[in-house]
Amino acid sequence: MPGLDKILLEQRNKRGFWLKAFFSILAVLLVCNIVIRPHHPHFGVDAYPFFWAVFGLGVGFVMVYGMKRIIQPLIVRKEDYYGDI
Amino acid sequence: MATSSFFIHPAVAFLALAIVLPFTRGKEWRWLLLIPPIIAIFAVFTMTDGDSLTLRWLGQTLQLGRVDALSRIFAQVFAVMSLAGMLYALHVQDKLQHIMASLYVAGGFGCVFAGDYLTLFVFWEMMSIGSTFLVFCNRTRESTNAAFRYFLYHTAGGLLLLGGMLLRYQAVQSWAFTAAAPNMGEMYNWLILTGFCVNAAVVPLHAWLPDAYPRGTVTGSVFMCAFTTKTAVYVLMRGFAGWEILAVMGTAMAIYGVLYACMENNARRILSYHIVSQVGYMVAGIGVGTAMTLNGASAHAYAHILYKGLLFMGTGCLLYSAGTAKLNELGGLAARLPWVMALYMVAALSISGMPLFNGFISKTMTIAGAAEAHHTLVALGLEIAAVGTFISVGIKLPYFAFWGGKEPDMARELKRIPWNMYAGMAILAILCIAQGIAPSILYRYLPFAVEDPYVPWTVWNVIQSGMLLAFSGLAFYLLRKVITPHAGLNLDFDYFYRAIGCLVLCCVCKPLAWIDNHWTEAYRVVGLRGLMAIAFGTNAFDRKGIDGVIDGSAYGFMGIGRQGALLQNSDLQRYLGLAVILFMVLMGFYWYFG
Repeated sequence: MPGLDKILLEQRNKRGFWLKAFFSILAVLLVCNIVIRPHHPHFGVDAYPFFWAVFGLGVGFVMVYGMKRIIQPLIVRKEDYYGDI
Repeated sequence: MATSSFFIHPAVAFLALAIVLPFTRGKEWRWLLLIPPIIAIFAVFTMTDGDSLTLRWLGQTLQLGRVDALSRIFAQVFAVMSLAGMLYALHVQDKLQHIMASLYVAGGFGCVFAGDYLTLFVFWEMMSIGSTFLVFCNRTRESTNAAFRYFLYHTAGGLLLLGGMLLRYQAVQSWAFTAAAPNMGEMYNWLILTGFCVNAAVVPLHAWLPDAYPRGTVTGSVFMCAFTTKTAVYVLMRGFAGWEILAVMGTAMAIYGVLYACMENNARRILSYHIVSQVGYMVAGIGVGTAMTLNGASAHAYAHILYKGLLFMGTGCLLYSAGTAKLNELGGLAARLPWVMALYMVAALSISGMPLFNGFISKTMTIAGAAEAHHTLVALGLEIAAVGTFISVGIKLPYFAFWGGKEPDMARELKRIPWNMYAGMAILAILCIAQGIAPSILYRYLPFAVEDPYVPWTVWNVIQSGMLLAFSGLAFYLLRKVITPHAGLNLDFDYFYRAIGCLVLCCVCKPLAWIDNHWTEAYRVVGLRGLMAIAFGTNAFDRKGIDGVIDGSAYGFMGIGRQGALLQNSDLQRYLGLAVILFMVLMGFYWYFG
């Protein structure tokens, strides 16, 4: 039985398979959400299908883009800015 | 005199270890490290509600032990974490680290079982000292400076607590550590609350945490990530449950932490910001203050200690083995450190709230509790934080540390990771998964009774968590070039702490410099001249007085000597004549006075 290191090296070459698996999971979740809805939605709008998909994608997008491209350029300094290192 | 029902205080075992360790010799002393955690685990599983330990001292009755469901659940996870932490640190030869870790853990247990503010304060400060040394023991200029700042900051927090305690005693004539009625606006309550909030890293009092924890020792930071903030969560839950402001501050913490973690490059600093974020969930749950959210906060504290300890152990392994925890310097290590990656991923999925892992059963309870208590914005804020958590700790950190789009790094020289580090991680990983699969392992210890127990494993919860995490993952995939970390320092509130420090330094230094300058001038004008006059007088006295007396005596003796020499001229007749004259003079005296 190959060690975990060998398995990881092998899977590295199967990028296409893992991408397909990932997008398949996304599709399955969306389909499930059409059928399965919350009995007691917390926010009202989360009763609609795909709400949490849009929420996860939208918040993730805004957070990453906003912090890395807008906020960080304003507050980033050299690593030794305080002279601690 | 101490009185007790059957109650073994776990702090005693850790204090005993701290006292004994300096006197041990040889190599086998390291096995002693495992004894206090085992005693602590035995103690927390055998103690029963109502057990107590009191000590009469200086006219005060101190309650060193107060056992109830709330103190037991925190003590239990502290005991488990101390075992995993000590096992992880078993290879470390530096005894000072172990002594300070023991002191620190003892402080944590002491706070959890403290029934009065005096006892709490003593153990609170003990934690502060122990943790300062866990940063200092890294023994670099960077860590020494960070330890000094950390100590200053926690001393200030401790003083707020002390001030609040004293004012409270003056007002209520009791040291008893009991719950403050929600939003009671007395000054002493606010001072105590602020003192607690410093240790809970409540924004904007949080910046000590990402400043100090990434600079601690590899094993020391594992302890620190578990005890300081969670002890603060415990005391907040004990003293300030239902304080609305905590719900607001907790939600702010949860979001603030993930926003900074998105930008950070140092793996241990990313995790530090996520402590702020995860403790935010607990603080928010405490602020909402229903039985369900308080249980959620307790469950999340328990789960958080396990997975955060494991996360710091994983990144500690990277630092130990590769020599750096900066993501821009790592990558391509998955095949070189496969088990570190696998164990790290257990913790990463746990903190993200993935079904099958313990974050799923604790985080969702707090959010559902907040929503059911009609704190919709709090619940929404915590969901936003969940997205950021998965993106930065669940994907970004492991992706850039172990893969990063780089070829497998087979050339990098890696230090071999000792077995005990893997063993410590394995204990926590097993618990993270076990609690995730079987929530009752954790839920049975929850301190507050609820009418409808929370059930995490519903089809909807799994679908909802799955969608949230999977589509957050899609956001990462689409923005992976944007989120690539770079070396740099992101300004945080410590900018203002340092400014305050500089201001205080100026307020002390400027007046002192002014006094020093004027004193120098006054001395030059008045003192120097006076000194010159004294010197002149002394000189004159020396010449005229001392020299005159000494020289005069010398001249006198010289004259007598010269006259004596003149008399000694070998003239026998003169000698006889002088002897007769002398004899007659002496006889004359005798005759006259006799």
